[in-house]
Amino acid sequence: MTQQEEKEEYARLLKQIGDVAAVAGIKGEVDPELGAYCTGFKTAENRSQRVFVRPTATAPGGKPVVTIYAVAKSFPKKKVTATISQKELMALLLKNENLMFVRFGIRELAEEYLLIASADHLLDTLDADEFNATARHVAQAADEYEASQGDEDTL
Amino acid sequence: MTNEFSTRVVEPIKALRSHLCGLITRDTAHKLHAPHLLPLAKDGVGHFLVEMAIYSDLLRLLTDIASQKGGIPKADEERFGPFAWELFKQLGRYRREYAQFVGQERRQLDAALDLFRKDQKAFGYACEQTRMAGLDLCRRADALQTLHACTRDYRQIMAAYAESLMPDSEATAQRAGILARIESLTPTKDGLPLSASRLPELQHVRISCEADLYDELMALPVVQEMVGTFDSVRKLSEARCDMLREGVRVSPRILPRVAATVDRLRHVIGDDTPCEAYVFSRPDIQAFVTLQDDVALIGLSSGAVQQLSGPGELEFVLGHELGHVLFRHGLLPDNALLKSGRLTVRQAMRVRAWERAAEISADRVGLLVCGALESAAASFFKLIAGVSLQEHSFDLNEFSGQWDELSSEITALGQRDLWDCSHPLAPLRMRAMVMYWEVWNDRARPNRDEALRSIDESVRRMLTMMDPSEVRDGTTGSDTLLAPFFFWGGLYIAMADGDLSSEERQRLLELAPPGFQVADPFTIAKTNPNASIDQFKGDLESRRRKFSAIELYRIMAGVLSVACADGNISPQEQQRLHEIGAAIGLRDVACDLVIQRYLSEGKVGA
Repeated sequence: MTQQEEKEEYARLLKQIGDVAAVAGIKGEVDPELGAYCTGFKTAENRSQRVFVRPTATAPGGKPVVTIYAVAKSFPKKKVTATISQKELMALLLKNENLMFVRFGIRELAEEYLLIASADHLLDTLDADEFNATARHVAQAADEYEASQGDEDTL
Repeated sequence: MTNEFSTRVVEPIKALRSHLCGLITRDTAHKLHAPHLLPLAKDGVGHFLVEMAIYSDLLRLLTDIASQKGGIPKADEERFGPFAWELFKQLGRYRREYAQFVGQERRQLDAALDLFRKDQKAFGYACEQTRMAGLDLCRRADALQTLHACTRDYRQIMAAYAESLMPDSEATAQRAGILARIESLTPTKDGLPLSASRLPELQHVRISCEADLYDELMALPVVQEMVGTFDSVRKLSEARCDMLREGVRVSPRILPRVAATVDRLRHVIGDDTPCEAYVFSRPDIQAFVTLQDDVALIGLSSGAVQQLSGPGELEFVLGHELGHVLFRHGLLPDNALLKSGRLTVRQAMRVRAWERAAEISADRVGLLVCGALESAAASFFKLIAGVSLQEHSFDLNEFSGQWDELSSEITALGQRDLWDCSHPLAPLRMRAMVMYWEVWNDRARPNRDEALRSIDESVRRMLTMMDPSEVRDGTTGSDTLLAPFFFWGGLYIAMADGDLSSEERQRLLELAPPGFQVADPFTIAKTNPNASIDQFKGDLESRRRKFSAIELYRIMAGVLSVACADGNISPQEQQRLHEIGAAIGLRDVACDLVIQRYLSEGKVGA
């Protein structure tokens, strides 16, 4: 696939994500800079969390996979060890074992790492309720982590 | 002059006819693979066949001469006018009888020369096949020596006719041309005058979406690269070696029926690609064609040769394969592309979609060269059911109706995994042929070309049921698996203000399920306002697989496209949109968001 075709395909998938969100009753919009569909949820009193959805892979049979994720923490690449300890990472891995539907992971960007709570789905067969529930779960998980760190509600 | 015509042309025709009348029986029609002529054989088919052949050729001559002269001079008109009229009337009568037989309405066919010139194409296959059968009778009669010098008589009649059209002052070259033409039209003991038997316009029977897909695929860099490689590989192909090793090469002395059929069809189709046919041992019905170094190699299973014994059946199957050759399908290396691993899934889907469309084009060639829908259907029946028709009955309408039930099942199951099939589903192919034949065969139909284009579009939509790549393009309403919901939901919305606008009607026609008869629902919706929503809910209940969120959005978008067809959404339409949304399980807030989203995409100003 040429670069242009890839770009068009990505835009088409983002539009479909928006369609699915509308059917699920979720309001949001595409953030062209992030290349993701963005929405937000209230997670607790006075707290909220942004949730992103973007195409991430293709499953066998050419079916597009989307990842629904929320950022729990971000830290510059140069100060990783100062921002997140080994102990904390271990705690997150343990948490993954007990979390339902969602897992924590680290997404690498050009200059920073993002600690994210995420879940994957096949876009073509994604159900509206499932989409809604997953989006809320990742928001909740990310926000709980953020709150547990004593962080302000910034994400 | 008319008397001279009678003496030199009409009377000899009558004499020839009466000679043949006693010779030919109904059985001959079967042997000639012309079952459609049987009902005409009230007192033997012979006279009909031969007379038709002669009239047909006389008319060819007439139009040839007219075109050479740049029209018919006034003086000539007086000379051959009455006889020409006689010919038109005769042919018109035969065509009417033929048309009646194939279930067409009686049409006004006694038009004059202009119509007939146009009609030379239109005259087409019904007459062409008959003509060939008639000529074959002459040839057989000679071969059997039961009628002395039959073809010589035939030739003399033609020559007399041509002579009478040309005064002595006519240029010798022109005269020679006409005589050569007569020669080319006359059967010989060795065979039929094949040069005169081509089917007109076969290139135009190719379904338009196949040509579009072909162009689309050929424009892909990866395909262009593979085509280049494939050309070289094809030269090195071992296909011919394999076929010589494992099959029997057909020739006039080995399997002469197959050889004669291939030979005749090649000429009927008018393609010059060198061609070899092989029969290999296999009990089921199979046929294929492959190219090696620009030679078309046709493979035919022994099962096909043995089972396709009915009139026109072998012609259909071989005509289908030759259709692939005619349309140069072998130049697109579809299998190599699919095996290369270099295509994206969507590109692979497009290759498969092209393969299926190519089968439809080839089916049409097979259908036209075999000349009877019944023959094509019988071949399909044997192919699918695997049983002989001698022992089992077969109803064409019921057989072709199987597509309606199959498409309902596919819709109910939301089946989207059919894209990897190289051939369209058999009931779909059968239905596509029935639709095409009805229009193609109806020569007198007004706007026939437009009707044929509309058939192409309907068949394209039927094919999209197997092709998710069409839906991925995101055009509202392009998902044919959801078409019943678009249509019934859209009709319910459109009737919100009590009437259908022309724009709404047009949009509904575009969204209707392929092959769906739309007139009735429009009438019913006017008398029973709830009929459409009831049908919508009925289809929802029939659905056996849960809708995905994307499908739900598509249903709403399809319905919205009807609501917006006239440029705005009224409050009553909004209300009904919510009813549709609720029926498919959307909350009010979701319904509002979907409407808002659809409108924000610039489809309409609310």
